[in-house]
Amino acid sequence: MGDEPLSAHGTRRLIDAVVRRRSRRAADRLVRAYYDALLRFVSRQVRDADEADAIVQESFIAALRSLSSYDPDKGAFATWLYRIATYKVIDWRRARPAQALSVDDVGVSPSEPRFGQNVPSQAADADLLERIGASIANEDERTQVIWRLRIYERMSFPEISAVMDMPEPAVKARHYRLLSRIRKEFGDEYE
Amino acid sequence: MNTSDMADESKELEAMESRLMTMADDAGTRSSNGRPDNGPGNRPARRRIRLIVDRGLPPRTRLIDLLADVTGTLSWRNVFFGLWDCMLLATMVALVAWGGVFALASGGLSPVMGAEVDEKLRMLYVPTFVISPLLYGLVNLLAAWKEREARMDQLLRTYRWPSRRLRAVRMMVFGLISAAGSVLFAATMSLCSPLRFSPPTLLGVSFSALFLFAAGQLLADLRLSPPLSFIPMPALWSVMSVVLLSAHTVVEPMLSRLPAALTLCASALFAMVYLLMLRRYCDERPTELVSRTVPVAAV
Repeated sequence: MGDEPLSAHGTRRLIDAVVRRRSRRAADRLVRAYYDALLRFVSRQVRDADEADAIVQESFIAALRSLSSYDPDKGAFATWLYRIATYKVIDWRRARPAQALSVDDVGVSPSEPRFGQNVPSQAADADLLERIGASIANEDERTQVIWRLRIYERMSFPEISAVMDMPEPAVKARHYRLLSRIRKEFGDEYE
Repeated sequence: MNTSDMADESKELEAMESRLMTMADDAGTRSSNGRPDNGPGNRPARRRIRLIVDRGLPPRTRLIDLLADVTGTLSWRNVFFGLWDCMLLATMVALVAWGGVFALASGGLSPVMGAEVDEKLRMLYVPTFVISPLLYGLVNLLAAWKEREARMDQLLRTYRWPSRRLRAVRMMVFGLISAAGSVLFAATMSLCSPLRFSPPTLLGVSFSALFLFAAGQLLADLRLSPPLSFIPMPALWSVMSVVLLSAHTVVEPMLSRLPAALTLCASALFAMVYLLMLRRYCDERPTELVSRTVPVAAV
């Protein structure tokens, strides 16, 4: 129960039950239905499992508290949740300095490398993502959110535009400007 | 930079983006591999979800607390700012209407002139039922209309929460004033009218009509956006009034025979429905801000 996917209508019904009746059961179902997806999204950005759990927890608490402000016209509930979680990840990253990674930090067993890629290469990728994350931390929040929704959740520009309440060309401009900057800074590393 | 260079750069950026997306996916897969038991079905996750619901679920707020919050923040004077003329006008119209009911019940000018009272025209319960929501309906309608004309409603809407709660406070106060008007009318009737009737039954009929109308108007406010929401309930009530008044010879005896306990219980029930709807009205965002259609996009 609970972790089965919810339709948009089912989600809306649960949200109504939480907002109007403060239904505990509906809140529980809502969190269960989206817990895995949000954890996956946060885990892509935060490697420390405990930190990722804490961020997911904070994101859901913030979402439940401001559930009445969720507007289905501005996008799916999951998209709204990702946006909240992204801000939490940005806050978390701001509060801690970037750290260098070792092979051990990557979280794979050296005996089970991913197909077509060796462990040092995966460590290098993870390290690069970490350094890119640290580098974009001084960009304004909206640009960072766009970046994270696009890279870590593969959201389309129209979706991002709706959830960020920004025109699509502005979203694209911010994203590609940041990509250009990253290419200049890390150009020879990501290839 | 020429067009071909720009196209090349664009392609390069897209390739880079795609590479970064793959790297991000791998990072997610690795994190998941590092914690095989982290789905919402397992015990630690269940505990975390319980904690989330405990901390995140807003506490149940009573209607009275919500309304007290508004009056505490704004003060009574500001709650009714700009509406005194609407209230005065509505009160005057209501007084004239109640006077009309009093005259109808007492047999018009016939007793004063010493003439015989036409019993066919004499009625109390039907006009009371029809007139009871007048003050409430009129003052609400005038207030909403004035706010709309002065574009105050648009300004209020920008302060998301207070706009609805502010209106709820006003509705509650108008409802109380209307109820007080009903009590005053019943008391006046029992003291000054030669007609013999049951004051508790009259009060029950009056309160039932008031809360029935108020609940209906709230339903319209919840389902429709202004100015459309102003129309259905007054229109419905007008039609019902015409029907009841034209059939008063049948309806009047029926209402007068109703036990007082029954009419008071009915009025308590309607009052409860009204208060529950008022609570919901405070929580829901205005219909003009939220579309009720469910988005097509799957979650």
